[in-house]
Amino acid sequence: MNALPLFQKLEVSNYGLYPGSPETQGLSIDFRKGLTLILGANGLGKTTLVTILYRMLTGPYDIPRLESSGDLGTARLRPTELSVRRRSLFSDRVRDGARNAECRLTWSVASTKVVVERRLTDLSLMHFTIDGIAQPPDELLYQAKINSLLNLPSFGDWILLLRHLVFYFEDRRALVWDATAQRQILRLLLLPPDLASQWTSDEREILELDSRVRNLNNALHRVEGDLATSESKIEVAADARHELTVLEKLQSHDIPLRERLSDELAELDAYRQTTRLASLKAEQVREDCLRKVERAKLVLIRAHFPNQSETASYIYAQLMSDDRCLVCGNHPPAAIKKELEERLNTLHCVVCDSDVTAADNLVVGTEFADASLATASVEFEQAKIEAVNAADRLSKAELQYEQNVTKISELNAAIAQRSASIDSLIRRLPPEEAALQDQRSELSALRARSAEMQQELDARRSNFQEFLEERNRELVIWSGRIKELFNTYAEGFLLESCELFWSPQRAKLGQTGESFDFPAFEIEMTGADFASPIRRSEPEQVSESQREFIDLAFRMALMAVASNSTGTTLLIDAPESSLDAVFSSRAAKVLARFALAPGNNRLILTSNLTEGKLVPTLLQTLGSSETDAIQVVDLFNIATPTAAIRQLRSEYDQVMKTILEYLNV
Amino acid sequence: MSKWVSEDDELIAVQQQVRILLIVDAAARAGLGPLPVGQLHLLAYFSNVLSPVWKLPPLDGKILKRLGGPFYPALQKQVDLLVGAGVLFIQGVDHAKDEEGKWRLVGSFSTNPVFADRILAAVSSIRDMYSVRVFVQELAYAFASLDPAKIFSTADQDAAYSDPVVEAGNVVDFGEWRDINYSSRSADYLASFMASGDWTLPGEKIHMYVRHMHQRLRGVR
Repeated sequence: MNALPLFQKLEVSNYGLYPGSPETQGLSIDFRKGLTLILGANGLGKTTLVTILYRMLTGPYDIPRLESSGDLGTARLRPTELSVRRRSLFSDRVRDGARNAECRLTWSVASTKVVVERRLTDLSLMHFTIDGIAQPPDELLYQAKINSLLNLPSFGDWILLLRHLVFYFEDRRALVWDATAQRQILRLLLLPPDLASQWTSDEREILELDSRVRNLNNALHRVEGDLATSESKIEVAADARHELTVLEKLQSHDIPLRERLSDELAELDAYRQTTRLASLKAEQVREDCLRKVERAKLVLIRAHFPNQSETASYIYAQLMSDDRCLVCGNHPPAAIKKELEERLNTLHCVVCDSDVTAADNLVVGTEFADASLATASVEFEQAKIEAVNAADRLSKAELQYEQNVTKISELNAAIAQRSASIDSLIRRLPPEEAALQDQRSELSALRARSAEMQQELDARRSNFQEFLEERNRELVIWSGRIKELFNTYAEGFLLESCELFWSPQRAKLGQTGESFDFPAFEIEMTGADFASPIRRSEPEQVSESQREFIDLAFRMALMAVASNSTGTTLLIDAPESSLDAVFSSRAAKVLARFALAPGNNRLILTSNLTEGKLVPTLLQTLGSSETDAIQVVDLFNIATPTAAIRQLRSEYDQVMKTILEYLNV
Repeated sequence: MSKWVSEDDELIAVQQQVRILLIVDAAARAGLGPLPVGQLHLLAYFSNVLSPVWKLPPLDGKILKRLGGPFYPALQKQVDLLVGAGVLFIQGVDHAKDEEGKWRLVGSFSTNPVFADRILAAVSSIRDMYSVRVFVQELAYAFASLDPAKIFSTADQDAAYSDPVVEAGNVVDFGEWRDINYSSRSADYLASFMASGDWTLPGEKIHMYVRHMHQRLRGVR
């Protein structure tokens, strides 16, 4: 490939996370040779900035599960478009959804300058130019241009390189201990593009063929098994045929019976509903008659109450006893006596003189009331009998219906069980001779096809074996240079003796066939308890600090080889997190060595204002050698302050001042 | 009876008048006559709340709880009409303030045999109404055995009326919208302690329950 990307300039405008300083709106960083130190605190957008840089290069595409462990096969290197949720990563972080936020990244590879502009709302491509010539803003075209510019077989390879070399993400794969990833990186970095591409396509073809051969063999085994079963069935055929005849006879009896019962069920249901209606109506009639009886009783009793005339006569008699008023004891005047008697005779109230004729007429006579009660009682008794009969008819109808349903259920179960037995017996019967012949022909055709494909697969494997051997020979030439560069970077960091070894790894391609020797490096290192260096094949075999910087040194070595000393960019997000205090200053020296390496290397580092020696030592080391080699991006002045920064600004300023003092040393 | 009410209302009124007549007559037979107005309403209440013991439906399944004890204004209206119709006699008529400071009629009632006897005979001629008459009579006998001065306070010890969950001014519902009648349930519960158990007669249950309330009034637990 053609070297690795060199970042030139990043400009972010109208993004709420980076409003900028009073002097300069937004965020603008000129990347120069040496160190670009991005200083901030939690929440100020350091990781967002690193992600913006990454997404400016990849666009809204990624390789699924690239960050997870597991075999990194060639087939997995196909880039896929990010989901809407992942595309809104930057818009979700700000109130206005990054509606007008734009970003422009200028970068170069070899002598070609590329400018990319994207919207931060959805990462869509706005413009891109190559050497000042505007290109149509089409994502697939952009990917094709990048492939061509960097001589890469596919855009997935570009993403792979960015994640494994340029960007040192927290969820990275440790390249030294990841043989499958190494294989891909070495292929991309050190082989001519046509061979790198052929490698991939050969691998993919073998994998596909391997899969097809396996599928075909599975089908072959199935047909072989079926044929064997068919041939063995001939022996058990007689018994099965007899049993089958019996079962089919039973079925032919039960199925029509079930149909007949089902027809009857509809009739029974209709009858059941009719009887239910009749029963409810009879119940209602019984209730009505009961009420009528109740009423007749009260009417009868009311008939025995005194009517108005009787009451009036009684009260008159009470008031006027022996022509003498019982209230005052005097004889009443004749006019009043006459008036009261007149009221009595004309059916008027003896006290208030109201006409009570109508009220008296309303009261039913006792004889009539008696007769009404007797009639109502008879009706009620009849209604009771009818209600009981209707209820009886209903319960019989329900019983018949339930019996029919039960019978149908039993038949359903028996028929289903018998059907299953019949199916099973039919399967046990041998196929017809013609069908058997067809099976035999199919088997022989499959066998022929399988042999043919296996032959082709073997041939391809053999070719790839040869191809791989040649490539290994080409790659091993680089191993000396890579080891040398690795030692340069690792020196001073590790107190143990650590060496990189060319150690091809045997791995299968697909699930069948011989293993191949794929190019890979491994680490040997001395240890507290070992006199001589031992192979450290797993990352767990070294300490966390060692692990980080062995991997970093390996990356730097690969980048240096690939860029052919024209320079490259390495971007590390908060490297101090995994280092202890003692190793911090050593790590700083390794990083300084990269930043000051011959060529045009750009080291971009983000850092919180944490305690530790990494940043001070790095500044001291670089500052004492070449003052131009350092530029600081102060996110405290660019980014929107968090609540912590607003309240503790003076403390942050003090720490910042202390750090920046190292620049002046 | 007023001619302005519907026939159904009239029949309801007849039911109430019959109940009044039964109570006044039963009280007289039990030696409680003439029956003071307060005791008339008290017996009317117990004829409702204890009716399930006799397997009868209550004439009215609810009552407004008052500090002064049970009182049915609608029933009182029918009492007045019965007096006006000459079916009941009243004596000692007066008005007095009750415990809540409201004016109430004071007086004692007895039946006028001229009219009442034939009505009572008609009631007795109908089987289920005769059953009500027997029940009310049993109730009157039960109360007649109490200290006359304490009769009126009996409701304070009744399970339904004295339910602390229902404060004065709220409705005591023992059969209109609720199915829980604490009084009849208590009467049944007391009967379960009898040697006769489930075979205890309804009349015995009523006597036991009334006596139980009376004992509670006297502070016996």
